[in-house]
Amino acid sequence: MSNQETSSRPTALANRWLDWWFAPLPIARIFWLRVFLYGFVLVDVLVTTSWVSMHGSVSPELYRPLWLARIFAVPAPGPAFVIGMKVVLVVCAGIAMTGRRPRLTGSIVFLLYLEWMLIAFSYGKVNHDRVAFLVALAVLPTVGEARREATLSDAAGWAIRCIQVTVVLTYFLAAYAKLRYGGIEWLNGATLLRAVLRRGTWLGDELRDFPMLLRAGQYALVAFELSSPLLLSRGKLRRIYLWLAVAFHVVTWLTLKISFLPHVICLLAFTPLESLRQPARFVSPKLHRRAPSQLGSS
Amino acid sequence: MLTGWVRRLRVVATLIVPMALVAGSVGGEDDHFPFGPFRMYAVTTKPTGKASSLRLEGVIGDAEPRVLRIAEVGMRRAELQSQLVFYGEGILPHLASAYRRLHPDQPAVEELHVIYLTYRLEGGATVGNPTSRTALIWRRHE
Repeated sequence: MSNQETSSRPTALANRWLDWWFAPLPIARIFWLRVFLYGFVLVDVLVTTSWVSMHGSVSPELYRPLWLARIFAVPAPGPAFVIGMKVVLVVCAGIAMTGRRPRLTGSIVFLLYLEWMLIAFSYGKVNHDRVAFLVALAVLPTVGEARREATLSDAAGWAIRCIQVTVVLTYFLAAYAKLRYGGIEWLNGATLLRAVLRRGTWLGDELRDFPMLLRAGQYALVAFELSSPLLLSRGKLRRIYLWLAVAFHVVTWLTLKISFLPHVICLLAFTPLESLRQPARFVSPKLHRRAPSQLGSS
Repeated sequence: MLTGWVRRLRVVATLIVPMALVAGSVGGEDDHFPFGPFRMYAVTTKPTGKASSLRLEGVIGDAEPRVLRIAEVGMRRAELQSQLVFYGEGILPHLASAYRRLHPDQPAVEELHVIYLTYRLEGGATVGNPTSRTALIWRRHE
C-alpha cells in the first residue's frame, strides 16, 4: 500500500464522518421543530414543570446548587426572580415559535431554560429526560431563518443530527448507567417492582402480582436501550424503533407516571416533519413517492 | 453551505459534546448536569430484602392530622428523600416555613411526621402487608 493510500484512508473516514454529520436536510424540518419544541417550552414552564416555581418559596438553606450553577455563582432563587424569569422565557419562546429573530430569541430561550433546569434540579433531585431537549434548544438558533420549504441546508442537517445523536446517547448511556450503578445483577433485581410500589398507577399496581413479568421488562428495557443506535439507520428499522420508543414511553407513563416528555418531543427530529402539509406522507412514506434529493431521508 | 469558521466551530462542538456526555456517564455524577450519568432507575433493588416508600403527614392549625402532598411543602418526593438524607430532621422546620409561604391564607403547620412504608420482598415479589414506621416528628412549640 502506498503512503498516499495509507494517509488518505483516515482522511476518507473523516470526510465520511463529516458528510454524515452535515448531511443536508430540508429547512422546513427546522421550521416545524421550532414550532413544536418552543411550543413545548411554553407547556413545560406553565404546566409540566410549574413545580419549579415552588422552589422560589423554599428556604435558601435547602438550595444545593449543581456544578454549573456553582461555576457561575447562581444564587438561590427568590419568588420574584422565578416569576420574572418565567415571564421572559414564555414571551421569548412564543416569539421563537413564530420563527422571528430565531438566533436572538432562540439563544435567550436556551439560556433561560437552562437556568430553569438548574433551579429545578438544585434541590436534591436531577431529572434525566432533558439533555436532548437542551441540545435541541442550543442548536436550533444556529440555523437562522427557516421557512416551510424543501430547500436543503447543511446547517439544518447538522442541527438535526445533533438532536438525533443526543437522543440515541440518552438511551444507550442509560444502559451503561445500569451496569455502572447496578451491575449485571440489575437485570434480575427488583428495580421495576420497587418503582411500582413507590409510584405505581392503578395499572402499575396490577403488575405487583406478576414479578416475573416485571423482571422480563427489565431485560426488555436494557435490550431496547442498547439497540438505540438503530434510530440512526434509515427506512423501516428506524421507523420500527421509533414506534417502539413511543410505546415504551407511553407504557412507563401509564404504569409509573414517569413523564419523559422533553425527550419524547425530540423524537420528532427523526420524522419527516417537512411533509406536514401532506399528512399521509408524514405517516407512511409509501403513500408518496418523491426523489430522495427533494426530501431528506435522514 | 457552511464554510470557514462557522463549520469548524460546529465540528469542534460535535467532538466535544458527545465526549463530555460519555465522560459524564463513565465518571460523573448528577451534580455534573447536563453532562452527568443517565442514572434513572439504575440502582439494583435486591429481589430479597426491603423497599420503602415515603409519606409526609402533618397537623395544619387545629385540623386533624392528614397526609400532605409533598408539593404542599415546595418539593418533589425524590427531593425530599434526598434532603432528608442530607439534613436529617433539620429539614422539617424549613418544610413548615415553605408551607406557610406557599399557603399564606392557611393556618401554620403545627406538626410534621415523616413516615416510611416498608414492603418485604422475597424472590422479587412482595410478601405480606407493608409496615409503617414514623421516622421523624417535628412540633412547632418544642
